[in-house]
Amino acid sequence: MKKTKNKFLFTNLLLFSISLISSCGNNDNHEISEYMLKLELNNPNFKIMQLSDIHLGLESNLDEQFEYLENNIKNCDPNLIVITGDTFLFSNENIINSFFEFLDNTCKELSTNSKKMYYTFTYGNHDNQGDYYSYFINDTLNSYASKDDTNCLFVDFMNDDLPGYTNFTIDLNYNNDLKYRLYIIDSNSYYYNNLVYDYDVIKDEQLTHFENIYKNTSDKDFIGLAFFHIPLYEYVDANNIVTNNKENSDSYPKVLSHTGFYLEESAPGYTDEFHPFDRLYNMNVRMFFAGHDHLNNANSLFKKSEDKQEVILSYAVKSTNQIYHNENALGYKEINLNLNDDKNVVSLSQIRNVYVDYEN
Amino acid sequence: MKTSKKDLTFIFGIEIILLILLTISIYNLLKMATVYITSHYQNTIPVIGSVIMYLMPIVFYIFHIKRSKHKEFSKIGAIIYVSITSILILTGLIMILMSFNYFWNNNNNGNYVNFGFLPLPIDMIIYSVIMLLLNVSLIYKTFKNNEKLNYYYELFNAYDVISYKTFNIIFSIILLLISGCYFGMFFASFNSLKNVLINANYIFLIFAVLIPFYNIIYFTYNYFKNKTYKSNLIYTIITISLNFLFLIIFLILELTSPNFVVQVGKPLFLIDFALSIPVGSYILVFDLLFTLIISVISLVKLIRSKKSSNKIEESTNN
Repeated sequence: MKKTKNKFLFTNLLLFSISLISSCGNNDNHEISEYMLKLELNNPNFKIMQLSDIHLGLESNLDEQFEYLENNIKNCDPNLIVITGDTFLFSNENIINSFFEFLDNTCKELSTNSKKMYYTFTYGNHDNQGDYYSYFINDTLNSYASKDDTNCLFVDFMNDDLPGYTNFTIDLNYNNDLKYRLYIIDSNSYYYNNLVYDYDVIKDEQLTHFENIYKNTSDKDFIGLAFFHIPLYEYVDANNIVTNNKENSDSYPKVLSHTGFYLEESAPGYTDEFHPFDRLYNMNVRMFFAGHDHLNNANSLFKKSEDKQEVILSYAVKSTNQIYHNENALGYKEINLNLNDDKNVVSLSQIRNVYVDYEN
Repeated sequence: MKTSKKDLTFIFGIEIILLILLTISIYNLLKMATVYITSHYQNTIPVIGSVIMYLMPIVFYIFHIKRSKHKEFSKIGAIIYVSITSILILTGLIMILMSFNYFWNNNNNGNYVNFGFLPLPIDMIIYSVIMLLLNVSLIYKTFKNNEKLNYYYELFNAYDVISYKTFNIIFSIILLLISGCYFGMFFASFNSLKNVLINANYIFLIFAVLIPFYNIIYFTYNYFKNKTYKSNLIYTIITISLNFLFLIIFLILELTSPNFVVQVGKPLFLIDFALSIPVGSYILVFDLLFTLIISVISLVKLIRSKKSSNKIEESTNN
């Protein structure tokens, strides 16, 4: 009798645990269109400012960091700020609130009647390493994005069935014509792999989700720009080619030219099994923007194979002096798009690394 | 002089308070050290102030154990101890107050107690007040009572498989630090309890970080005197059951969701994600298995010793 009772208790505990674990997959489905944000633009010149690896945490002097960022935003005067991950590290709710308040106010102040300044955000591997629940950043951004006349371009649903915290696109339309599409992708954080934690990757479900967005788009004559944090395996190829002085060799993959620096090894995710580069390429992505490796900020004109067009593989310029960094290479990246241009090719001249001395 | 029940309750109360402060302090100390190192040693003055504040409950706890379980302070010893610790606390406090601008600017209202309305780490100020009060009470007690207090202390030698006293003490301190750190993580996990809404595994993380709870029971149990065979038996069975329960929970999580610490533990397992190695999980498994084995050996020894003492009793009676 006692044995039966114990068995019953054990089975119940096991079932309870499994049911709780599996309840995580109990999600709502959302329409594809809900993940697609659109900007109707009147001016053909559109400037994107990429900020990355800001790393605000308990040890940061926020006033000092905000002053540096504000000056850079003012100097760049972009149409859109894209933050590509690791904005926070060992942070707390107050710091997150302060940062988004600062960003929102800055964008509002610098917006004019003829030009509105927007901002958007994706995650890095460190953003959820702090004293807050893991959806706090998204809740904050969703609340800004839901305001009237908002400057925040952001959408996510807590209970959707997608991995990652950002899986949306921003379409840049000019004269009612889709010219550029920005894919804002969470490349996730870590992955338990053979007794160590590797960096994670953009998951298969996320890529399928973006493919569905692409399939549901009637006008496919656009250039895609993908923004994410953890670099793809093609970044490793580009880095190796440049650092081994094999630029412009006959074999593929090849780097035709590059600007900026590769000063450390690339640190991609644990696997390439989902082929994010090829799949994003098939969704018209010709410019890839990652963060993560603080000492790399190169922009490479990369050709993976003969049958593929040239693409740009770009590393972010580290945007503050928090945690490890190159003192002489802090600042931001500028991406200049011409919405009047009908040529579907990309060029390194569209991208500029801007280095700003932190001490000044 | 026999210690009164009132005194014992007072001492026990102080130990519980110090133990809680110690657990939060160890976790915050680890966190502060990780942040300080990863941020390339910025803001040294407030960090040193904070480190002093977080170290003090550990010092206080160890000295409290020393005087209540082993040897009471002499008058000179008490004066030296109180002077040094008070100076350190005041130094830490001054360094924190000097860094008013830093705390104001970076919204750091303390690593655990985060009231959000005062630009100072309130938890550290509370610690310093408690510890200064304890110093005052120590001086008062030392000078009031000339006789040495007869405190309760009788070690239940759960670890008597390890017979070296020094090793035993070092081992106990390591266990205390490890379990204190995880217990601090348990308190910190309440900061992000909303994670349960996103991932139900989060609630199990709280259980997982409670694994070294056994060690806290070990320390607490040692405070009681007049341990009988029955109380030792109950204690051993409780520790084995708790360990077994936590082991099952941990194994279910590891087997059904190997990424569960990644999904839910990033804010708590600081070193793991700084080094990209699941150190926290390895320590938990080690702690679980080690204490489980020790407890089972203790149980077997306990039962054997009872049997042999019964036999001796029988033969004496015969």
